[in-house]
Amino acid sequence: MSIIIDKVSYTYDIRSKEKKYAVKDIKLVLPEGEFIGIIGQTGSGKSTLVQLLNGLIKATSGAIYYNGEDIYDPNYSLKELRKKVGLVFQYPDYQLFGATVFEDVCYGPKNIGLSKLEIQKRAFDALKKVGFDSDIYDASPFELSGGQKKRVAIAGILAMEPEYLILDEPSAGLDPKGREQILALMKQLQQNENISIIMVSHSMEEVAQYADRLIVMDQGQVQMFDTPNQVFSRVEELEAMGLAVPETVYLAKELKKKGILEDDNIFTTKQAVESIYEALAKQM
Amino acid sequence: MGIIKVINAVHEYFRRNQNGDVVEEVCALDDVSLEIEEGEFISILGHNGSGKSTFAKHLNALLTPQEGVIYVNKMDTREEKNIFPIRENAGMVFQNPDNQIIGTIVEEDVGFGPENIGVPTKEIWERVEKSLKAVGMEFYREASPNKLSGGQKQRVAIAGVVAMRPKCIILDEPTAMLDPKGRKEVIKTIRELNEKEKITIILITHNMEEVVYSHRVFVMNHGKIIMNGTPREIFSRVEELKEAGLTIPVATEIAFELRKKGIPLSTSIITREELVEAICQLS
Repeated sequence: MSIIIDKVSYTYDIRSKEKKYAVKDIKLVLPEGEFIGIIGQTGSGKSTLVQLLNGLIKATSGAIYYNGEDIYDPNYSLKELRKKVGLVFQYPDYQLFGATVFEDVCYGPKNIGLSKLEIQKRAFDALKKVGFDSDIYDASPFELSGGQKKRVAIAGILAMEPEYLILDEPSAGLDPKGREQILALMKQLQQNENISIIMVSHSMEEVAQYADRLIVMDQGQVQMFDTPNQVFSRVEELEAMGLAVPETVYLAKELKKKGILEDDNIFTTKQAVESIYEALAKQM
Repeated sequence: MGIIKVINAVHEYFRRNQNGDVVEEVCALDDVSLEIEEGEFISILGHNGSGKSTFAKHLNALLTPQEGVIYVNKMDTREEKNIFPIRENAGMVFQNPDNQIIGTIVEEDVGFGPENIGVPTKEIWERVEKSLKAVGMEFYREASPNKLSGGQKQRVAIAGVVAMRPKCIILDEPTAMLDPKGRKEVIKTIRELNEKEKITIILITHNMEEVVYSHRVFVMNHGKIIMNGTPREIFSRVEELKEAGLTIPVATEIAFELRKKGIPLSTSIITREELVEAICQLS
């Protein structure tokens, strides 16, 4: 299974003479099972790209294939696609509307005409996966914390049993604890439920730690698609696009300059601690 | 007396379920006392639910303490006649700029506050111009706010508060929804308002890198102020911060982990430069 994006462009404001590209000539293959991070400045086309992936907006030109099928084929059901490719928005408030948490999660399965038993089963399963106990099922989604709301929104998508889960800045506005919970949940869904994760993020530390591969967007185009390792070794290019690299990469680079570290490809705190410790232990 | 003085403030509320039955009692402010001097740059840290937003709302009389007293510019927040003078003195900026911008063009939005309190027209325009300059948005006077980036919108919201000539601005997670560039713009603006305009700043945030610039930091947990000191003093208490559900700057964290492994590094390291230097001295 895979999503293939073939020369996709999306322009807006078609009436004005000069075309404005939100994304331009994108070619990508997103295989199943991966955790992919998308980084780029505001306005680089990240959100347009994720909305194209589940058919919320239609490409101006180019084609998108989901499991080998052209999603723009008149006989293709976009409703079916949106079940398989779930999208979680940045503000959970925009996608929560049930009177209770349980009702909210039931909404999707209800809409696709499942039996009452199956609807409830799916809602229970989904809420369990995101780590909620039954005592919160009757609460109103709006009296929950930001992190809890986001988990309810994710449960609503999981109840549709998606193959791909796309999240637009899932950790924005959360405190460190809430952030860690959401990210650990993503990783767990990838590993245990075999759901492919596509996550838009502004935090380099976050994508460095969790993603298998990174898409770097700039001016509507994919500039890099590689492992965090490879991407974060291209510091100057990233900086030219207005992006930073994880703080530990800068640290490792300076320590390499001073002759303390040999390798500057370090992008998590844990790696940094270990390499610095080894280097110092050798010398002492 | 400082610009803000809080004496034994308590604020409790009930969390109710759908049927209106009380589920639990939350103590958002639990006997909080502190004093903030004019011209200070204060940061308040704490995880979600620690009481920091409730505290912020007390500082411009959106909420009043159930026990204890809060004075803003020597005025008691519990007295009705003080409410408007207090709000002129202590302006508030929220997390989502979309919720506080109301004008259809930038200058109209910034002028809204002064117009409302009956400032003469000529002076309104002077204030609008000066406020927009102070936040570096003077070239966007006639722009429509919905065409601006998040960071720009947030700066317009700040200009709207500055136009009221407050002595003190309270910002409740003003950068939480912004990208790194927008975040930098907003923090730079806040620092300049403090340094050049001498406005007292109270910044509520989870982002540790933003706290580094403040004069003093308060850490809140369970409605109490559990730490109070300079950023350097606060960050040296790594374990307590972690317990309060907070993260610490990367350099401090690495120094902390290395210290645990027996490498003798100072507890006062908060920047990358300091960490590099300390490591170089060891090898």
